[in-house]
Amino acid sequence: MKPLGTGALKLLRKLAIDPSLSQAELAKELDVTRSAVNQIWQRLRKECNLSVRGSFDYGQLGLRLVFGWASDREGSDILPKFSRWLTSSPLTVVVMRSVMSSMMDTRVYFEALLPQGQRGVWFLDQLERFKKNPYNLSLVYGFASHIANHLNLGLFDGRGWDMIDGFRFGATIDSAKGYADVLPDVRTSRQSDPVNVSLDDFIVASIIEQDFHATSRQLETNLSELGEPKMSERTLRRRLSAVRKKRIVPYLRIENIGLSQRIAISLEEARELDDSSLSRLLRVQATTLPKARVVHNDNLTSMILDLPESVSWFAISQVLSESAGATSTICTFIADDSQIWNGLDSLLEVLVEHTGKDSRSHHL
Amino acid sequence: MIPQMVHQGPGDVNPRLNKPDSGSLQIRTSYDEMIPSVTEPSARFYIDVMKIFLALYEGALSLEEAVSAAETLKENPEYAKNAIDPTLIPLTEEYKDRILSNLQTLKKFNLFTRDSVRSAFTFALLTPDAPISKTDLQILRILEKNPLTTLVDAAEAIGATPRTIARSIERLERNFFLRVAAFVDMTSFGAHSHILFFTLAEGIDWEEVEEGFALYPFTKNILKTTMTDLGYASFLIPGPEENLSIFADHVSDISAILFDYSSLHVQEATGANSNMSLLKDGQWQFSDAMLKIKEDDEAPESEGEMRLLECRGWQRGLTANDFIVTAEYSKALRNPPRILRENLRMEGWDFDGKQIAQSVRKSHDRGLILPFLSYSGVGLPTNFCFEIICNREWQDRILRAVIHLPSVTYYLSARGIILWVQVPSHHQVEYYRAFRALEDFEGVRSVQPIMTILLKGSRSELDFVRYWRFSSRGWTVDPELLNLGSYFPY
Repeated sequence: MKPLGTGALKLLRKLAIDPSLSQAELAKELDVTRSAVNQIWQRLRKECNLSVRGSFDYGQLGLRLVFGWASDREGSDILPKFSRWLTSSPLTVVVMRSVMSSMMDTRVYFEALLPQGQRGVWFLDQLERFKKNPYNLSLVYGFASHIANHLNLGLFDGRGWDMIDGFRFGATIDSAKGYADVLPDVRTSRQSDPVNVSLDDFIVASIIEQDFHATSRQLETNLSELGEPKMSERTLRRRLSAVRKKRIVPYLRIENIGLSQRIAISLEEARELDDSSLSRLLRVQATTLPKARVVHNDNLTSMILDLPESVSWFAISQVLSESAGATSTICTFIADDSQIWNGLDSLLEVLVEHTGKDSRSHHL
Repeated sequence: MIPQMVHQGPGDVNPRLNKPDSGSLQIRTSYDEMIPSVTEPSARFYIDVMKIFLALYEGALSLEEAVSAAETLKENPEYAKNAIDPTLIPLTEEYKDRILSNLQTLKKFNLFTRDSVRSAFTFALLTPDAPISKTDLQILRILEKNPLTTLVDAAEAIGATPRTIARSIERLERNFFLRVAAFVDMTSFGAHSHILFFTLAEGIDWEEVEEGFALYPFTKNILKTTMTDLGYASFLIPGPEENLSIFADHVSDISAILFDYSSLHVQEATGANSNMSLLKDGQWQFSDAMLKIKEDDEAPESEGEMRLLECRGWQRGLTANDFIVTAEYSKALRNPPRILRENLRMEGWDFDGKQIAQSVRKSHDRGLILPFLSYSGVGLPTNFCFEIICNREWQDRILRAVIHLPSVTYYLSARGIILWVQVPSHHQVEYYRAFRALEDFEGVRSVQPIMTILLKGSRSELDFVRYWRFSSRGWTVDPELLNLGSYFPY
């Protein structure tokens, strides 16, 4: 990791607090020239893959995010089979396998975006099939109700990260148990029921997902690559603006900042629990960690954490496990390197195939 | 004849340490405002441990008073679950600061449950890594080959003066908590070490099982994390020989009710090994010895001597005094006899110097002990315990491979081999996988892991023998006392 200078760190911290800020707004906020901001931005993009992405209410795009995890004893051949199937499905957007888990088993975490209709139903049928004979895979999944992405640069000084103390982490969770229901659950995109959406809007969304500040020129290039008919700049702008209004939460994405350890936490709680649960405590705590992606519904919560090497994933796992109690099951695992992280663009081909390019309005 | 005990229990403890109405230790320290007040006995246990440490650190208690205070802690059932002797915690400013910081966090957040207070203590004791100098590393390498080497021999080996070696050892003791300890062949004195691995049956409450093990007077230590089903309890069972099968029957009886899996190991040999040679330029190198097991028909050859203490069974001519002195001596072999005598006296055993010298000599001459190095803070924070069920050939192969790992303790039984392995965090996955891969071989029936953030201590042998008789064939108890089932509510 190359240390970050003061200017870059200031810009990143500002962006982490409000990722919707444009370069011009950033320049104003930081009291520097726009060219200075652009220079730093370009360098960070080159060296650290800086981007501002969009986290969607997928319902507004006609999709539902299904997420879950499967576990099995080490050495079993069922889990690799399940993992291969997930990887081969064009609807799967995230696959993470464990190299080592706190429960000393093997695990696969996944997320998939399901369109309405037969394709989505088929995917769910396949999941159920793996739960039954002859596979009998231990598999839990559900539709996400909320998705959040957090980056906390307050712990980063440009060179290294403050030590995250396992005890304090656990103590904070324990201490908040009595009033979890009043803790703020911030920067979360709530997932609504799927609605019909046009293919054009979907294409625009796939661009904004990769770059929240995408310009009409970028959109034009992408549409042209997909063989879509040319549109006026005014139309392109209008489309970008219309899609941005579809409950998108922007978030900052950056790499090479010393967060070399990726771990996944999966929590399953009894359905009858209210929202003052460990899940809510974890979600709040996620905002204090360096980098976290949180997906949850009423009884399932997943957290993907990027942590500095110095943090003991196992110590964190132990304090979480002690907080979990008898009605919850929590497992932490170190993710292997062969992860799949796809975006909306990976579904484009399927959807275009499914709906036919001639039709301009689709039930995705 | 067993010497007169200096004190027998809490009634004899220094009155300024004990508060009869609550059972809580009344120790005054200048940090009292930062220490939360708890009433629940198991939470109070950890608070008292930290109080004793702080009082000892700032001189509010003498070592003798602290030892007496620590003795009263042994009456708390929590002691059997987590045998901590606060007088053995190194008196460093770093530990003091971390304990105080964690106590303040507890107070700030009003966290007074056993789990919270235990967590505050456990995390305070996780040793941060410290850089080690070239000379200190050289000395550590010499000591790991021969823990009892003299200052003169060590000085000759690295071309330094004995004074330099002495200063280096002092630094290692201060910064890395270096201690030369020893395994003792308990069977020579008629006592037998057992370890029971288990997974709980459906519907069985761990708290109740843990309580049962904790109250059983022969339990040495218990390890089970909240993360995995597998746990273990270790026991020291005195003779006569028939007691071993009686104990095994009791284990079998409770296993049928409490456990889905149970596996009882009777110790045949034990030992430990470390390889500081893998630490180069401050970075631990990966040892591929475990991977070579797969490739070679022959087990990897060990360089040098295999450090193994075999259980040879009862030996004529050993006395209870020999046992007591050897047990205390084994905690710190490099302590001068004067300190050993003082420690024994503080533990409640009054010996003269001649008796101590004779017993120590016997422990060496008869091969009753196996010295090993204990240290921390050198970058080995990941702790695994593996229960490996295997045949004799694989027991030997595994043993010859694991002695090449950074740090390992082994326990051999007729069922296989139990290992406690410490490795750097950046190699934890590779080592873990190498161990799990052993299951692919025909001679290995199972490899079951437990991972912990800190290895737990165990009850001192001296705590056991206060209630045992020393017969013509070593330690013995009435077989009726071994009834393990009577400690469980099932």
